[in-house]
Amino acid sequence: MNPQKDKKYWLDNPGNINKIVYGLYSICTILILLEFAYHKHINFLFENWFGFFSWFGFIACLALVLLAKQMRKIVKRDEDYYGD
Amino acid sequence: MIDSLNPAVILVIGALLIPILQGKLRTFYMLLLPVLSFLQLWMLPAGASAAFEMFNLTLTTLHIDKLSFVFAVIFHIATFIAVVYSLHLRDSWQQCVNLIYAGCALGVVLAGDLITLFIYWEMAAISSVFLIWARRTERSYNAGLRYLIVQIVSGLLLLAGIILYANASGSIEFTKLDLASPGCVLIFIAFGIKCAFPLFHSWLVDAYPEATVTGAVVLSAFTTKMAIYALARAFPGTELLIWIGLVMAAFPIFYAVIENDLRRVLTYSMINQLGFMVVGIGIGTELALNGTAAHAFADILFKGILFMSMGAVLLRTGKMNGSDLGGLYKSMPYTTTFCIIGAASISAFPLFSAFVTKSLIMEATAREGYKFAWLILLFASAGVFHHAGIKIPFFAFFAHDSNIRCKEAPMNMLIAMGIAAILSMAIGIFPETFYKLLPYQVEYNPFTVTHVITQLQLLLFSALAFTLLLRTGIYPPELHSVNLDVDWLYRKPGAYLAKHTMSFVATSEKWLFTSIKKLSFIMGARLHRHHGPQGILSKTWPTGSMVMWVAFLLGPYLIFYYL
Repeated sequence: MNPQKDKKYWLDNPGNINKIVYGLYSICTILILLEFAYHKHINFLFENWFGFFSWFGFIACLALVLLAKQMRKIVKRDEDYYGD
Repeated sequence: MIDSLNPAVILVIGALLIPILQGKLRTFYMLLLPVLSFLQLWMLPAGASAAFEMFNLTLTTLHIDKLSFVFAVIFHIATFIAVVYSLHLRDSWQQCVNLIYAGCALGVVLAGDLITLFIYWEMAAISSVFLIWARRTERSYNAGLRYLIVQIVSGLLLLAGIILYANASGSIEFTKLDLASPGCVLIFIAFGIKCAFPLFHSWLVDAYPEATVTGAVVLSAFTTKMAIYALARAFPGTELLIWIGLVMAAFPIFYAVIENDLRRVLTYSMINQLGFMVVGIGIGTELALNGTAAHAFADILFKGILFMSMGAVLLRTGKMNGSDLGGLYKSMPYTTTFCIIGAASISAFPLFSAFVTKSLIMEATAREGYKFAWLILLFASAGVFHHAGIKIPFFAFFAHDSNIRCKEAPMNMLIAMGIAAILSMAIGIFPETFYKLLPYQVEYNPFTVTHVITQLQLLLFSALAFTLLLRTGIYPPELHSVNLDVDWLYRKPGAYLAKHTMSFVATSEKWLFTSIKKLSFIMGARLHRHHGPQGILSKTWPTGSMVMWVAFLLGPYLIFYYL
């Protein structure tokens, strides 16, 4: 038996993965709240919209993944499609 | 050091000795070459150049200014890292080609005239294909051939462009060119092919993932970055480049999300990063060109780390598909750490390199008032974190445990990744020192409260989107598949056409030859009938009969004459 295989890692426990996810939620909340705490130096007016970079990042990734998923319907082929 | 010796020559000529050296001596020699070449570059006086006359042309084989100097420095660092990364190889030819190729790329950025540029350009193309063929599989052989054809086309266009340009302008100096003349358009397209412009990009995505473990690392550093340098020198401020760059930054990331081969994901991500640099060239202000040079510098390092970590995974597990990997952090903790540093650097986390390099380009875009372009770049920035920053480390080292247990990467690979990781972080932590290396003097402070907070918001909410999509099962799973790209055009209809053209040519040829054969047979038979042994014309005729015939002809003639 491979001793490496038996070793339990911190990440093997699903509870710890939840801890990371909740950690991410709280950091995101803090980052949103920081909007009240500083003065933004901006180039474009829309950057001043509340939490602009937060929801832009969120929606950008959502759109990216959902569109890419649809794109699969058109471009996906079998692995040996080119036959080499 | 010799005053006008081109550092590129040290690498190219020096590399030829590698195959005849053995063991420790070879290791020492390979490490020494880039160091020697770098010392030569360092000792050359500012603005050094070397020129000589040939066929009434003045060839400037060496020309150093601040722009070429930045690229020459990072090319040396990349060469050294690549040598360390490939030390475990027992394939001296591949190690030799590594250095020849690196030397040729260096020659391109130090070239002062277009002819020298062309020579190094072609040598880099030809030497690099061996890094793909060195994998010695049929698949890599075919991919290498396709790669070589595209590279040669780029070279031919460059040559045609140079000839037209030189005839029109009477100069072969490599300097700012104007897209108004046809020669310059050809040169522009030649650069664009190597720079993976949209529709010309598929060679990169097709070939790099088929290269060897070390080959992909070396390839990722040079070809595209020397094209970026060439564009920055010849076409700064060309507005067309902004739009080309935006397509490059935004479009490939969709492919990156659904691609399974993790090294191929990195090639899409590479085009995305090149897009930022091309936008910088298109804007063309001092800040923007600084951004392009800085980002090329940073990209060679962090893309190097990512390719090196994936190479280590490929070496140890023999697998490169996201669907087959996972849980490798247990077996390869150091590689995992370096990969995460590379991922943080490409994603532009504060204190990592792209945070201080990409923001130069973003800031320049904003200062020139390109609102739409800036928004697309912001989208691409969120996307790069998603597909390169999260996807690469997550699917290789975490995700579901693939139960693969392997050894950690070899020590030389870890050292190579470590050097690149330290440099990436050093750029991110000490930007002021790094900015001094850039071509222009520009005031820009990346560490403002606004920049740090907005960047963290952008990145962490992207991570939030990824987490939610993954946990709800909406995230598209990694699947064994091929995704169609532009290369489909020449791999399917193109190949079909070529095959059928060939078979048409073959049939016509066959028909032509059989017809000629038949015809000559008939002719032969006729000749045989008349001139053969029994042929009427080859009989030996008695003299008497000839006299009779002469008399027979002359007789009536005489009669008619007198009548």
